[in-house]
Amino acid sequence: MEPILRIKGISKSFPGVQALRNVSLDIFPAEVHGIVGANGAGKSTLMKVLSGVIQPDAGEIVWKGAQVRFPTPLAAQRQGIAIIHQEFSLVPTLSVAENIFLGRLAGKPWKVSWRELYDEASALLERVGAKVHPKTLVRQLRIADMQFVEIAKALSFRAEIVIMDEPSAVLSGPELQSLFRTIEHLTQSGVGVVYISHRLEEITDICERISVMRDGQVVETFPRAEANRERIIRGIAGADIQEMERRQESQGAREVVLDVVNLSLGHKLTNIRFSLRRGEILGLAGLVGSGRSEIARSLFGLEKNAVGEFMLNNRRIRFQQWSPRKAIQHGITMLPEDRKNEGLLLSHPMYMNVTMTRLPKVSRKGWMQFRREILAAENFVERLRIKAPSVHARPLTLSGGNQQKVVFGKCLFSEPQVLILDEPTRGVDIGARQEIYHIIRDLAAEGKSILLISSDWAELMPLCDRIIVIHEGKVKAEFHAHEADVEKIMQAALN
Amino acid sequence: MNATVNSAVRERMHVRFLLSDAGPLLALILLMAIGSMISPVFLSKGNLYNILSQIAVLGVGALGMTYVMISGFFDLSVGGVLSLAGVLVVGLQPSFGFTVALLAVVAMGVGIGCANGLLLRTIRGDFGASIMITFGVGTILAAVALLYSNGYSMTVQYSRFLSWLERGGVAGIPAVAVVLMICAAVLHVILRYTVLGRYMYLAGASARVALSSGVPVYTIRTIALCMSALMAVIGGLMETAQTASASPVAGVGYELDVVAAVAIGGTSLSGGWGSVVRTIVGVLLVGVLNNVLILVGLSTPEQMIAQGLIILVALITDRQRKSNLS
Repeated sequence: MEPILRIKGISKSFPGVQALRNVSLDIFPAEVHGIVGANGAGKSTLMKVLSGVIQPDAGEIVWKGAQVRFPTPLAAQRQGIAIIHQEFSLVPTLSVAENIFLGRLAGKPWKVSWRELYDEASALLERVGAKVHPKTLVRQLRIADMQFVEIAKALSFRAEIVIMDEPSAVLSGPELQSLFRTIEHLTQSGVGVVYISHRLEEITDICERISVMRDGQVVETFPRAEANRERIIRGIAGADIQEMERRQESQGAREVVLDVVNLSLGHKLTNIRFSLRRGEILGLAGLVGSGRSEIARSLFGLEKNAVGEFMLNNRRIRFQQWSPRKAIQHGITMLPEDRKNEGLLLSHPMYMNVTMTRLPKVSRKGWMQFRREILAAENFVERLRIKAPSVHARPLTLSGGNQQKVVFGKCLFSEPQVLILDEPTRGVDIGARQEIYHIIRDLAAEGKSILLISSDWAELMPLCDRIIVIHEGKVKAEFHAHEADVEKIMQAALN
Repeated sequence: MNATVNSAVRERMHVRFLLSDAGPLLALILLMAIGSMISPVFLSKGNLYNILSQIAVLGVGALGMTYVMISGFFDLSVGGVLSLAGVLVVGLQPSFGFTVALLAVVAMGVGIGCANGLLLRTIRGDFGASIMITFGVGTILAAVALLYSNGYSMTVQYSRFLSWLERGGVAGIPAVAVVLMICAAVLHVILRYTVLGRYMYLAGASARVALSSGVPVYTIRTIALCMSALMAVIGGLMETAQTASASPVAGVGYELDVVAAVAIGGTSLSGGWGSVVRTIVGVLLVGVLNNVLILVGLSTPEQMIAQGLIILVALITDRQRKSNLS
């Protein structure tokens, strides 16, 4: 079979960086082509070249046998190349159908033909395999369904290749399965899919061919039959990375630090109960929307409507009177899920970000002690191995992994006893992931208690001492590290 | 990000950054150079004295507004505060004496700031809400000033402090400008060197991040609003002293003049950036510009057009600086 899209010798450089060097890649119709690589390996630059967002310096793109150029994203879209970005481009206040045909509503310029619009939208949604009504407002949808709307939108342009940039980052369990089914639908109807992901299990599960990128090059492309975890990791890192071993059963019974007696939150959480010991890593598993993030946010005082109480070092505390400020003062900190909007001041210097959780440590009688502040921040840069030119650097200029380490630094600066980590490895590449795993383990070894939320269940198991599974706002099951596996968690999470 | 960013690019970015960052100061220097060339009077002692006494009322208001804007809010009640402070201090003096009247208006300022802050805390207000709430409060205050004075200007009775504000001075600098400089110095030191000052920047940079990092965002913003109301009270006293009467409509339009001066100096409208020094530069720029326009014989409408243009230029360069940063 002929490839529908051939990329030959594409290079692209930005001031000071060679983002792509001589990249060649063939995409066939009806195949799922996986692309993996660390952050900064050139995946997104390549996708931007393919979708017409930026122009390559050298090399050619051959589309259905003819050489083409895509001067704008629209040109690529018209040819049949659609890209679905990690951040959705949907308008929350419009309906599903309006979003799919945004700017191209059926009918006359002065009168929309609503019936035609909804019919066409339904047809597309059916093709994707989504059970979404076209009249629903997008803001009422679950994240997984939004993804389907994006895919339907791509198909409405008669896309023959759909590029998906980390589509699974926010999905787990059944939502992930339905994404995979949609991808299958697409390939069956002859559409080629380019699938970018950090999760290796998925790549080896659904991709027919896999390309590994490193330092702006495609280092190898191989069929699924030849793929295995070690080979992919070696390709991404350029060297062998020791994968994490399972955690040893924690030694002896330690005292309980945090004991949630009962926690309810509207219809989202009912009577949640669990406890956390000193030096323990407790995993919270569950689907997106199961209530796991709400548990974390309630414990940190961010949910104003949470009711119930918990014991912190044998002190009784009611959720109604809790706030992030009090939580931090009592030794609980949280690393939020949304790093960019809740975790960091992206354009303020790093040292300001690190010390903000506890300014009294770097001040005396209300006066800032700038030398001490810089030294304290430098201390964290060293300890967490943050790669940055100096503590004056703005987080905006750092990679995802290093940004996340700055958030870790900020959390640790307040000297917490209990650390709540909500998706600490989201948007972090494999190398930095390993480092973050080590940081988490070291913290537990120091005696800090950790509550870890992750959609990537494969990372929960080796890290945690215990895992509790949340389903529809209730604690559904509890496993010890040695007895947990993905299947058991999945079953509990799905009911 | 990487060590190979070539130095030419970095150099260019640096120059561009400097230009937009020091823009207001360069504009001020340029304007003064032009002024001294156009008119021999411009650099005379008398004229400089005039400029300083004319910017003082605007200046103190702008200082307070700097705090509010850095911490992520807006304060449109300062016009009402200024009017009310003026008529109250004049009205209360005959029965209670000047000192009590002075204490009363200061307390009123703090109280109004707290009220603004508490209202916004109760509704968990954002930037937009702060505009509407303080506008509502300011409208009521302006009305109270009108009711209290029955709509008439009230004539000032003699007090040592007010006549010092009007005519006094230190080393040839008008008293109002001395007060402005003292306020600026105190507010600068707080903002730059204390934990409170740091909290102002954090609260304004992102309320969400600040809240989840244990910063008492609404308390900090309430303090900023108190500061701004207090500065408006001082502005009201200066205005009253300078005109020897208290007009209930003295503060009409004051709030936006103040916001404009702060923005012209380069303090960000969206919070988290800015400084007292910038504000002083902005205030001087407005003052010198008006003065130069008067010296070349232009009328009020033309001054207004020039001021409008400067505001536009200031905001456009502010946007550009931000897009350079990201």
